[in-house]
Amino acid sequence: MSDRRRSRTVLAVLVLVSLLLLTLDYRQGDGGAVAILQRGALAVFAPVQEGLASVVRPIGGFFSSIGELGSLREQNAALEADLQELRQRQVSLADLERENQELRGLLQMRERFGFTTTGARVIARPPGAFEWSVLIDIGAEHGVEPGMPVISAEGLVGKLTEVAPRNSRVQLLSSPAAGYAVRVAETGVEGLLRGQGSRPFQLEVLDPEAEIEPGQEIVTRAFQGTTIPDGIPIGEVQDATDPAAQGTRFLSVRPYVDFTKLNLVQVVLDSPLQPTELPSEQLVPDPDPPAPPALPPEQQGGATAPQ
Amino acid sequence: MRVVVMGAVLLTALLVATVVLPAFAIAGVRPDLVTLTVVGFALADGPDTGLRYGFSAGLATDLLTGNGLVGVSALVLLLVGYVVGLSRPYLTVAPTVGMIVMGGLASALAVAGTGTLSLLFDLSQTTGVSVLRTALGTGLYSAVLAPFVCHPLRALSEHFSVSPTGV
Repeated sequence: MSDRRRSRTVLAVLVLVSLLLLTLDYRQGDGGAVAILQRGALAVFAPVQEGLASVVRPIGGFFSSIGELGSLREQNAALEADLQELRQRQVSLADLERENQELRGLLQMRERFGFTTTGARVIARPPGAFEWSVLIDIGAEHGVEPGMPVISAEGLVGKLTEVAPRNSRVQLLSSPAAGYAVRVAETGVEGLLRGQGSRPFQLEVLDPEAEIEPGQEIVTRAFQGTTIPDGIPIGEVQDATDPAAQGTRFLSVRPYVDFTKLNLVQVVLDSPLQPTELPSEQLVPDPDPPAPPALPPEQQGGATAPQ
Repeated sequence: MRVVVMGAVLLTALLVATVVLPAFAIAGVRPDLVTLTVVGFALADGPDTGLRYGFSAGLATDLLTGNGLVGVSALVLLLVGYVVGLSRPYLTVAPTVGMIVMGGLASALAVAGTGTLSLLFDLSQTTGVSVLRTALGTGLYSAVLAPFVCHPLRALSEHFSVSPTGV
């Protein structure tokens, strides 16, 4: 019984103390003794809280993430899908950038020579290992004809050999069956260029005494009966000439065009066929024609005056 | 020594409640660990210990957490500790069930009491409905944790026991 009375006494005292503290704090506000005591206790306790928090925070985050596992899985799946899409776009973007660069190069080549061209895409190569031609996606319907030259951003690719309504075959410059009249851009030394498949071109120099240096550029040379315009880059000389060598000389020429990576090309539409003879109806009369040769005396009398 | 141990328990409960338990909040509700320690000691030792420890815990809560007026939690928890201590003889048949029930009820009443006094003294912007909702959520959450808090405290109290003050 005394325990119960004691408990009730303690209860009453503590209730009164609580109410007293409450009243004091309410009346005195932030400047009162109770508030000061509160701030002091907080100043002592807060660093302890901070120290524990730095240790516990990662663990708490782990448990929090368990609760969010379901939504995390959904988020993860959505992010994976976004990442996959972005990766595909990146691949497409790389392809677009490459194509953009190719197109810019083609445009520069066309503007450099002032050609009228039409663009084409290489769509197929022959299945064999010794075929040096490609198919492109334009044909007669696009205004192309056999014999028209085909160029890329780097230089001459070849010429059209077969033309169907919607596709055409291009005989590559690297074909062993191909031969082109060329010259050294810097010096004008003439030669004949032949393809050798995957190996560098073979240049047959017509002037045995001509000096040709490695690195000199080889370009096309217009001649009668050809449709290939003059001055289109082909490659550069790899070896030097030997003036002491006699007879026809053969040099290697490294092509500018990588024939294994052809994608976008242009067909030159306005490259005229070089005439083999001058048409007589287009000849301009000579204003000072030379005097005809004098006839022998025995022919002069009979021809000049009737008797 | 018993007082030192109870002080250490109180301090630990305050630290855990303010630093660790926020990470375990569900819909903004977390268990009331301090009230559970009051319930634990009250169930172990009776109403006298309950009201003294409740007052100390409430006062420490008011001073160390800086929430509201000093004396609000002290008043609420001393009453909670006393009432829980008084129920101790009726819960000896099923102590664990008693811990769960009293833990949940005490926590809910503590939150409701503190919230009501805060409203009366215009200390918070909350509403009566919000207080009731929080009290219910806290009570349920605390009821789940009650056995895990009260059993160890009971063992601790028995280890550092003095004569229980029962009814």
